[in-house]
Amino acid sequence: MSQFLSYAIPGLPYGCVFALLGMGLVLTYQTSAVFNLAFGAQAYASALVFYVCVSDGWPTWAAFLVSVVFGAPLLGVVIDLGLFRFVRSRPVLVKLVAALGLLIVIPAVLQVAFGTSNRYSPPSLWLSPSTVYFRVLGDPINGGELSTVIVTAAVALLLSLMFHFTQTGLRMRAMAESPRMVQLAGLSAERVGMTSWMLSSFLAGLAGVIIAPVFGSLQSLNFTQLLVAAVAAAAAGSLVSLPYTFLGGVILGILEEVLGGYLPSGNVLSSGLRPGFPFIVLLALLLFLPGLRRRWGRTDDPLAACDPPPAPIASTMRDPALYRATRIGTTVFVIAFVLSCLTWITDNWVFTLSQALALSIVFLSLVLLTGMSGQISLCQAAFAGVGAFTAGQLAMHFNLSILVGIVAAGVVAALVGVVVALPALRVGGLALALATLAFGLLADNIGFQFSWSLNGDSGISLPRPTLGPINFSSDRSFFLLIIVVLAICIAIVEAIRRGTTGRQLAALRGSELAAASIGINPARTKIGVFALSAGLAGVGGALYGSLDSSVSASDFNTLVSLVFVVVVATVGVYTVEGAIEAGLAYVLLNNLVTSSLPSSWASLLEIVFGAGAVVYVLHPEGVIEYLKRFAIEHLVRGGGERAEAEVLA
Amino acid sequence: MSAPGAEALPAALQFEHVDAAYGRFRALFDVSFTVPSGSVTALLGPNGAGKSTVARVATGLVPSTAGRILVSGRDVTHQPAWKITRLGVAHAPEGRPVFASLDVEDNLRLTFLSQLSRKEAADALERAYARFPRLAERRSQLAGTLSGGEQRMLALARVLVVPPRLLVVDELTLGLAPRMVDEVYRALRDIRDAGTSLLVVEQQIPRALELAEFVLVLRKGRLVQARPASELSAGLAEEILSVPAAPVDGSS
Amino acid sequence: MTEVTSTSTQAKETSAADAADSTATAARPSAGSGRGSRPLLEVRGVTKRFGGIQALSNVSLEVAPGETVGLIGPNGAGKTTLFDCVNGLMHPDAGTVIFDGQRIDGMPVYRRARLGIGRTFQKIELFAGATVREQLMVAEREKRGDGRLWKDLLWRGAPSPEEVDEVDQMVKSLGLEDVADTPAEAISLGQGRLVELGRALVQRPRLLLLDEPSSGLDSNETTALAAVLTVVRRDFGTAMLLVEHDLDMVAAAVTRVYVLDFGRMIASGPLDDVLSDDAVRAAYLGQAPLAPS
Repeated sequence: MSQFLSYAIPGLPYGCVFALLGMGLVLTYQTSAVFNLAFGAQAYASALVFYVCVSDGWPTWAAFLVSVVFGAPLLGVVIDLGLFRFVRSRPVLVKLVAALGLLIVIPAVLQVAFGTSNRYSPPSLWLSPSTVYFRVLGDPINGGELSTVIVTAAVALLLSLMFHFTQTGLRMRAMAESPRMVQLAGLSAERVGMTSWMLSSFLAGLAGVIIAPVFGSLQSLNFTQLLVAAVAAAAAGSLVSLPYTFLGGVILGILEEVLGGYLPSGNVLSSGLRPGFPFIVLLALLLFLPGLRRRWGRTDDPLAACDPPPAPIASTMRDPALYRATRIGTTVFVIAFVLSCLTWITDNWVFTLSQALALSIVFLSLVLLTGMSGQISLCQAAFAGVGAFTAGQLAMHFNLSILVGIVAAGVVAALVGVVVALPALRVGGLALALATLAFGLLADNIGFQFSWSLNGDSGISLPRPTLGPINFSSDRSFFLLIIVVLAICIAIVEAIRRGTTGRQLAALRGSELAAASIGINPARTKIGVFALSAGLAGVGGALYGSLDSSVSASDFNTLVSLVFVVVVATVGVYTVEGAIEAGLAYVLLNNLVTSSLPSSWASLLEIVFGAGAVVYVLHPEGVIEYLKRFAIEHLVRGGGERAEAEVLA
Repeated sequence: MSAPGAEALPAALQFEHVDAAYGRFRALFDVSFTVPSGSVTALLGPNGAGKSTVARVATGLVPSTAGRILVSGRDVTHQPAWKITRLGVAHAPEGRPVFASLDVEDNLRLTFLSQLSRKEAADALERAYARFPRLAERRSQLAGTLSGGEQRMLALARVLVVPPRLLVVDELTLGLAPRMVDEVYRALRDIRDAGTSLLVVEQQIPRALELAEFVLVLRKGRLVQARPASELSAGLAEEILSVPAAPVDGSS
Repeated sequence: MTEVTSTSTQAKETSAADAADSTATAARPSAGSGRGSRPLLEVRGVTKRFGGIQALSNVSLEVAPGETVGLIGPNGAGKTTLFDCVNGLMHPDAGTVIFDGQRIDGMPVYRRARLGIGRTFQKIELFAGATVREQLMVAEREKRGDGRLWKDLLWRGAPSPEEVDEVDQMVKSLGLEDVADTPAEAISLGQGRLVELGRALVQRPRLLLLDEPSSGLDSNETTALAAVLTVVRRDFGTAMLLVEHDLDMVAAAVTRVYVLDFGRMIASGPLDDVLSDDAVRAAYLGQAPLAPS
């Protein structure tokens, strides 16, 4: 018993860290209807500013004023004005992508502003972590732990009171549901919305400064890693209840420490347990907490009819002549492109373009999943990793050709996809996003570290394939292979779009209620498509790895997954072309930044991709799609505006 | 354009050559009309004619693309909805305009507290419950779990209890049982008598004509009729709306 | 219990798949296929609570094959909740729902739909982004129940010419030709309700649940709707359960009505008899005049 307590007591402050972030997620979700995955990044921003001020010799209170009291709400204002103001009446998933962009941009901007130097032992705000204030059953309680617990408990209490017993709280809760209805009550939606963002940003800043001393050094990754635990805590509160979120976080922290204490130390399993355990808890909550199912499918804005209907897809707007011309043009271009790559283009470029096209296959999986099915997966890179190690390990241990390996990669990734999606799809889109995020982190931290998978950062090798007499070891022949596989994958996605499943998906995206009432089995359809999408990602990952001849865990980490989603969403997630254009954009930009710019500009790429999320917010159909439509409307039709009166009652 | 405004009071609502659009789709073309102060104006027309758009433009939910809009003589053309609301314009939109995740009482408190003092708001709440006893029974229930008709009641309670200067109601009695329809019309009469001007979008034409002094008819985004209700019998109204005059009876 | 239902659904699916090869219209067993006087839908003692509220208490009703039955009552009486319990969006706390002799409470929505229960929604539920024709086509494809992922992958998932014909005919009979290729967001409420109705009808349901179909329609659209319902009853022999506040429409459509109030069934019988009942008048009509006879 005393041993149990000696593990449990340090778990309390640790759990408070989860709780603090979890309450931040609940607060933002309840006031802005944004599931703010960037909350950790915001916390990191304040912690970093605080660190820099203190190490410049400022007094603690001044650093606190600048980083948390003024800085954090200011960041909230910027976020609101620059991003979330434009997404207020958009679906939860659009807002999630916007938050993802932020999650990528904030650390990148900070890196440009403050450099990349290591920052060890972050300073504490209030009580010193090196001072032991008292002991509980012999366990020393230091200042850092004490202040974490006190601040978290105070925040839980004050926020709950504000939320349920003040007019401001009422207005913020109303705002999350319908800004227009808030306007009709005579309140400025802009003002209420900005207040919400200032408050949640302040909370993020406070959390960041309080939490920072827990880590040995200040890194944005640490805050991202805490995310799953925070999400699990928020799930325990059904995304509504601050007290339950608090409780959930605390219990999670204690359980984690207790388990960590009893498990043998020193192997991958126990070192990976911290990020892994919240994942399991989150899945269990998704499975067994019935309240979640109702909460996470947020009802739409009752005044959504005030919005213009979505823009049609460019290809449906072309008249037949233009359509034919485009089709012929595209065919000629594709043939010319392939022939050029096989003949006069330099090896370096062929390799780069091959990379782009291999990634396009992974991106195609997002077109299928997000564009056609309306689901978001934050672990497509992990599926690609699963595919890569399947093909690699089969080649290594069974001497199996990579060509067979690619097929096996697709199958194994699809099976893993089913396991991930099964619990989450019962709940809804946001839950799937979170479950996949958790799975991605689990794969990073545990799955890909084993020698039988990707062998951590040392990686594994994937030989180029041979097929009987044909050897794909040259870049040009491998390019041809990638083109063939890509064509097959495109055919698969198009077949689904035009077939029954495509129709079912369109129906489910439009109204799950109505879809079920005409006999569509929502779970089976969605799981089938999720598995297929994971399979495509697996195939793409295996090809990508085989192209490089080796892969390691860092090629497929969670950050890569998040960037994938943002890039594809920005470029165009509704069309097959979008995936290819996204693949080209991603690889070419990457090449440009790494080869022709100084290394201090490395984070520029992330800033560009993150900024893409802002574009996505304005044009959810994707940049390329928007440009095409613009061209058709203004160049071809001569600015013809369709004057239709019989629209919308 | 419509009623001759002989009174000294400025019109409660005035549209001057208003156009409106949803993105690429245009919905109103050169609409001009006046709702005289203290009067009830009914806005009729088939579905898709743009009636709801007129209501939304009047209260700032949808921006106009051309023309001027005046409320009590003040130009509100590009004002945000909340500022127009503060001028005493209330809008009960079509559908189920309630905060589904808030309980019934919070729904009402949000509106009342933004316009009234705490004490007045508490009074207003009591009056709302007295007028709609059904809501009193469900005061701590989440609005999203109410039935369709109850949500409609809640939306009406929000705007009927504290008489605004101008009330815009869209698809007033949609989904209400006959008894509730009677009660809602009684409430409308009460606030009209208390001095509120009304712009009423309604499908039940005879019902609308009982109450209205002026009638506007929209078709395909254009105003095709504007005249006193006395000149318009229910039969004529239906004819204007190009509807077979005979109601559906058992034999057809 | 579950075993019984699952095997019989399988049987239904295979028979539907077989039938798909022969003719389009015969995919579902036709209504009232000579099973004597057994009711098509039987609701027995259904009770549903949420929160502290008794939404339905011990409600029973029956609908015979091909019969049109009205369900009226004041707002919040539990009409939509009862629909949800029949269609599967909600599961009753107590009581049973029997369709065509088979117990269906506990079945998910999509399986009840495949048994032949269609419905429209009070708050209209269209497939956002899809055109009118596409909305009907999904339902038409789903009727066969033979849509499989692997068939799509072999490029065998495209609709057959018969299916296209079927959908075209439905579009025509609903008078929706003008908006056939318009997306759901850009059609009027009345057209939307017709699309919902058409989406249910292409599946040839044996029972159709209509939740305030005329609500929000203008008089043109109401007339069109009433005409469609007459045709449906006459030509398809579909049984209907109709929730509606427009008593003219109820009078024109139904043989008898049930009256719900506060989750209890307070009356049932022919419309005129029911409307002259004092309890019904107090709860539902208030001071409104009696409905036209």
